[in-house]
Amino acid sequence: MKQKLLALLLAFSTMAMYSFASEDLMKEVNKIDVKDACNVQKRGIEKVLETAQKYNPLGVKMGLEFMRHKVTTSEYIDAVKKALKEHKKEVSFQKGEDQKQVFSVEFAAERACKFAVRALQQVKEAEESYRYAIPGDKFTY
Amino acid sequence: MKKVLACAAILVGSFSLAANYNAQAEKDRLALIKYYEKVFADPAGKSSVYFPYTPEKELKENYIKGIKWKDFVLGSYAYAKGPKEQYLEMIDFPPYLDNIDHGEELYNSNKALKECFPDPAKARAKYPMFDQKKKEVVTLTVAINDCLKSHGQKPWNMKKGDLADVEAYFAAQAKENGLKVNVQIPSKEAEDAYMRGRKYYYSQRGYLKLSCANCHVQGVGKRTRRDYLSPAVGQVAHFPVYRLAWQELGTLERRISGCLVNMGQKPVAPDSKQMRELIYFLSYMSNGLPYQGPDVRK
Repeated sequence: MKQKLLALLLAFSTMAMYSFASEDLMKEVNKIDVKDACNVQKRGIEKVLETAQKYNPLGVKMGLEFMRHKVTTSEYIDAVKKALKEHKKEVSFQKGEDQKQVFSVEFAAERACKFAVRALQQVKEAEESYRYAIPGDKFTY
Repeated sequence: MKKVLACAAILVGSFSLAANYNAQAEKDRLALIKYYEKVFADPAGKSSVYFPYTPEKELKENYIKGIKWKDFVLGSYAYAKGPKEQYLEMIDFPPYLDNIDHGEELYNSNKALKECFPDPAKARAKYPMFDQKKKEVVTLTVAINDCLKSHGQKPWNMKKGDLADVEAYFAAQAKENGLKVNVQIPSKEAEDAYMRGRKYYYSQRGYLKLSCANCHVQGVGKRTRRDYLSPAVGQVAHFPVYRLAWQELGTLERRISGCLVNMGQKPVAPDSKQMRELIYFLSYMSNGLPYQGPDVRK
């Protein structure tokens, strides 16, 4: 009984902690200037990648992860990490029978960062704008 | 006498409360219909308002005007002249007939499905529904797989194949019996689910920052390459569809996933909360329209 209670308490506190952390992250992300934060020349590729890795998991969890030509933000991040480890200058993606996509590591890092940050920033933007598209609500025509 | 009056008051009170859960959704549905009817009242005459980039000649020659609510069950074929003619030719020999037969075979040979859905026509019309016990929206796709799992069977692919075929059989039965879309919002939790679905539909997302409404509300009737964008009203009534682009039958979840990809986002899972609530909202928008599925689309 005690063990069950402890397990429950632990699960509850972990959930609460995660939820507070997510809230903090959401507040923080809205203050970011994406052009600055994801600028490889200005901040260096490691820092930019770090930013992408910081925000992407929450986007994934919330079902907001971006995807362009079948390549997701997570895949960009993994590819950049791998390229840095192997000292490569390019990353490439082969999706089924589609044409191979090749990018410089810097470009891929920048895209990963922008995608990760923008996915979360859009939440607040949507919150403020979505009703302006609803007929019968704020949409005028 | 006092007791009778009190009972009556409780009854009236609970009825008005129950009716209230539908109130916002009904308001949204009627406003959306009014908007679409206005857009298609006279596309050529209102070109500068609703179709600023479409040449007047095209608006006069390619659009049917004076479209009313019930016409929207045909989707964009309600107003696009050329595509409507092609569609009417296609349904002379529809490509989904084998899928309906296969769905019927699967249904008749599977005890679990017969137990869970004793009346195939009603099975289509029952979903999506809000499950008061689970406090979540259950779509037909989710209900079929839940049924299989509860009988110890492997769930099916939620986008195509056997599941789409069984849905085609259910839809065909609903169409044959003249059933109409009739989504209900029975509680506060259900209303919350509807409102989340509504918000999802109108929120811009993905790297292209588009919402479903950008194409199907504000963009309705406009042409993207050779296709005309369809209205939200009537969309769910014709699923599952045989899309020429797929060369096979697919579920509503598959089509929505395709839209999400086009918006620049990794699609949410077909059984995710977001997908279920989005379908709940979309289905309510088609309330009152007859089931048309399965159908064929480009």
